[in-house]
Amino acid sequence: MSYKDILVFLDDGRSNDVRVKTAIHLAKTHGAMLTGVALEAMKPEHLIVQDEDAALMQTKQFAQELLHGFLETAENEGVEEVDTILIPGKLGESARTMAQIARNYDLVMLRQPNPDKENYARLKEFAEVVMMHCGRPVFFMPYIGAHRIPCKKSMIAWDGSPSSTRAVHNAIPMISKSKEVTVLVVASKKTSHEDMMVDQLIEHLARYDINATSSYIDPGTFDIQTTILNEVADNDIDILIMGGYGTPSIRQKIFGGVTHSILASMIVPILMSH
Amino acid sequence: MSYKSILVFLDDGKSNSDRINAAITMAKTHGAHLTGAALQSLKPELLNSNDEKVTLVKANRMANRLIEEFKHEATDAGIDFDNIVIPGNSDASANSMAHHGRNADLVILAQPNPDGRNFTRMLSFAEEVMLYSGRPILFIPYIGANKIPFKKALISWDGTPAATRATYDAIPILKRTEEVTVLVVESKKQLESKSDEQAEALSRNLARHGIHARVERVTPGEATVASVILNEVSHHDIDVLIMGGYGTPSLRQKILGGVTRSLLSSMLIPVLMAH
Repeated sequence: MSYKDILVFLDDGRSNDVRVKTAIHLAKTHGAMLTGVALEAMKPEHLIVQDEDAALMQTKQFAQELLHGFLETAENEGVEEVDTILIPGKLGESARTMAQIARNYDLVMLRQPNPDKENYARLKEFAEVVMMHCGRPVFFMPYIGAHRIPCKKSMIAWDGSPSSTRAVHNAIPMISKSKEVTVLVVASKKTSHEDMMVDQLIEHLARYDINATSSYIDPGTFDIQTTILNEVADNDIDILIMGGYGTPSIRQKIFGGVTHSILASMIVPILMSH
Repeated sequence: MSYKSILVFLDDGKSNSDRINAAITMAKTHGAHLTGAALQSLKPELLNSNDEKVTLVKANRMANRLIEEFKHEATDAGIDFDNIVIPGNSDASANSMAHHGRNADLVILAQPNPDGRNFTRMLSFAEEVMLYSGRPILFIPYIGANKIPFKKALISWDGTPAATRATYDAIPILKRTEEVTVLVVESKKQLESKSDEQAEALSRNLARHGIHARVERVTPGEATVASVILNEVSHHDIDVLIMGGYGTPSLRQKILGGVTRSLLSSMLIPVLMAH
């Protein structure tokens, strides 16, 4: 089982190079087509222009350069099928367009927004809109870059919800290539042993030749997100798989608490499905 | 790409044997593990009793009988299988079925029969399993289904996340069909949401999975979206319909969307839905 069509988001962030590198690696191992996408309205960080028209011209040109650079790198690295898309319009609209485009891909690669940067709020909203509306798994590359590519050790943060179920199933092509898979359940009132049916999940994964082990963690006085991040760090995990929560119907989208804080503080790539 | 585990729901409805048959055929072609699930507390259709104890005993007996039948069929077919009896009243059993569904690649349920006595319970059961399992659900019509394996598939495409998930979850089925059509009903809402342009992109992506789909656009005119879809289904002699299933899992009183509900009660062919 492989991904056949991968979409990767391009920008001027620090993680762009490693994001492209990871995308190329995935496209090559899966034999997938790779498409790079840039936003016409994405303002490069170094750009300081007051005049709107001038700014738009600059950003357009910048987006074109990103796409060119991407095309060149991908072709040099020997990806068989490469394509580029330039999304027009303002940043707000472009998130919707991106979600629409993303629906037709097997995997969508975005970046984790950097909380220290000026564009954090905009990028976070962009990521939320895309994830909530595309219906496809989204791979978030940390803004500090990836720990280890290809990912050898995967961890599934399992809470039995429809979102985390979708995340696991969508991640099968990814985790079937990793050496170690752990199903992590953070003990709480909502995650009783019986309801989680972890053994059955492991049995199901085994039918895909994935050997997973389970781990029950009592968070003690920590909250769930801290517990998950601790486990990721302690076990030297390369990729975390989890459900992404939110309420798509409300205009002001609100990411679930755990999703939100993990997305802000993660240091390894995350594969999320809503 | 194949399904590796399939969960099939067993009951005393008319479609039960066709459902088991469909499940076994699919398990065989996909090389999948099949699990049969019966409900311990489902009141048999023919039982005329209001005594709770009698109902419970009869229901229990029926569940065991259904499991025995399933085991017999599955053993004959020589597939890898197991079975479960799900305890609890209507809410608890739906919840538990959804939990079991999480660990399957496909869940096969019965379309609730509007004339059947269990209609309300079965409808809310189906809704709940679909909304909470997060997995694709294949509904076998209550009148049965005999065109298994499927030859002609229709994707009802409206560009929503649910329709997207349904399509991708259906890839193992689509790969084994002879003809796939992507249907876009060009209602006002559709044209605004640009799902129209995206239909071509979808068919391009499906091609990369080795599935050759044709895009067809229909203007609904005065007809409802549901009836347009049903017309297309019968017109093209479609064997399986793939669509998004809508609903609001956050409300206690679950409400399936209008199109979903009316299709779910009036369809005559198997429908694969994902939420």
